[in-house]
Amino acid sequence: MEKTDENLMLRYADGDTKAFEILYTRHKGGLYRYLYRQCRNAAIAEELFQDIWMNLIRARARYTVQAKFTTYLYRLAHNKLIDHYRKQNKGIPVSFDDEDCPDLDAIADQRAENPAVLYDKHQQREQLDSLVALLPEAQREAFLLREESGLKLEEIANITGVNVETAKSRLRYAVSKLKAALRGDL
Amino acid sequence: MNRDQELEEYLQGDSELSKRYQQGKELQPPASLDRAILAAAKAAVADERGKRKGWLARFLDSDWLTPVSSFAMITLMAIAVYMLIVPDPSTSTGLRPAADMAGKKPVPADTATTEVPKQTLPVKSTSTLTDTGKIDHKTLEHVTHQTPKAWLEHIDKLYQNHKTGLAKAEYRRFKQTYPTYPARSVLGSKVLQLEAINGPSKAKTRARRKEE
Repeated sequence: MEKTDENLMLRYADGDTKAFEILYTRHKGGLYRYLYRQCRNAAIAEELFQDIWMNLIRARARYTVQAKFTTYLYRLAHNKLIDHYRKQNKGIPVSFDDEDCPDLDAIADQRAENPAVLYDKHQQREQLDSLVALLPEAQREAFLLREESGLKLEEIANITGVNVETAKSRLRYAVSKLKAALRGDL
Repeated sequence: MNRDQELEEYLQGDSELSKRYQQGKELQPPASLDRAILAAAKAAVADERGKRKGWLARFLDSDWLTPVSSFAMITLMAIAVYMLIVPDPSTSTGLRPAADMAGKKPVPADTATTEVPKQTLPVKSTSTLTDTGKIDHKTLEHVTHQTPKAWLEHIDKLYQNHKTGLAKAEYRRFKQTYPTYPARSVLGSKVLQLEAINGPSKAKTRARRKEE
């Protein structure tokens, strides 16, 4: 049997724990980074990460191939993240309601605090991380889903529960801001 | 370059932004979390298998079954060896004593023809009467029959051959073995004569009534 994510999940539903190991190894990094960069707290990210996988384990018997496994996994993650936001005092971030949310000021401020020239790749990467962290949550989510799981716009829209145009708009703003910040255009 | 062009370039997958982001993929969940999740995945499957198993499978898997089955096997082997070493005295001759038969539960008259114990055919009837005319009961006890009907026919034959003493002794033994069997169906009116000849004494009748 071909080792696609969907087949691995079906095999796990039939009791093949080796299939689950392969699936977990494939997706653990991307999912963890998505959560960590969204909530910016290692302890919370780990808790959410564990909850998501436990939900997946519990729901294995009901799993059917209706979409890509990645879409299924990240939808669980998105819902978990929204639950997490709800439990916080601040509630769900405004950026999830604002379709365009062109919050460029924060990026500009961050850019001003950092040196203009980045000498090595490590520094460049750290700089990018901090810029990503400054994006509004909804835009950051769209960018992270694209980068960590390689999802298409339609799939990002499906996971986040918005139409394709909104997903496209969020990603467009995220890319534009990050590029501008890295170029020093702001 | 406007934002739409930037997005198109980015979605093609080879943008500088993506390349830079992909450099930072060393961030991974802690190993302890990996172990916990993989263990939970295995435990869930094991638990489900346990639930799916029927009661018989769980019974066969139980730890105490092996010693119990070993004990049962040893006991059965001991019984088999004992039976081989110590033969049953009643089966050594292949015959069952008539006394055993007499001690059996009475068979109802209506089922007597179908539920009678099988008996072997007469062995020898040569020594049923001694030279002095007395009946040799020890010999009689070894004369057994395939069916009650055959036995009655044998008695009838004795009676017709004027061996009255032998016939009444056989008839008495038959009645002890099959007290409710309808002997009249084979012997007819001869039964009255055999019973008259053979009838128990008044003293014996009284004693039997007392026992009852």
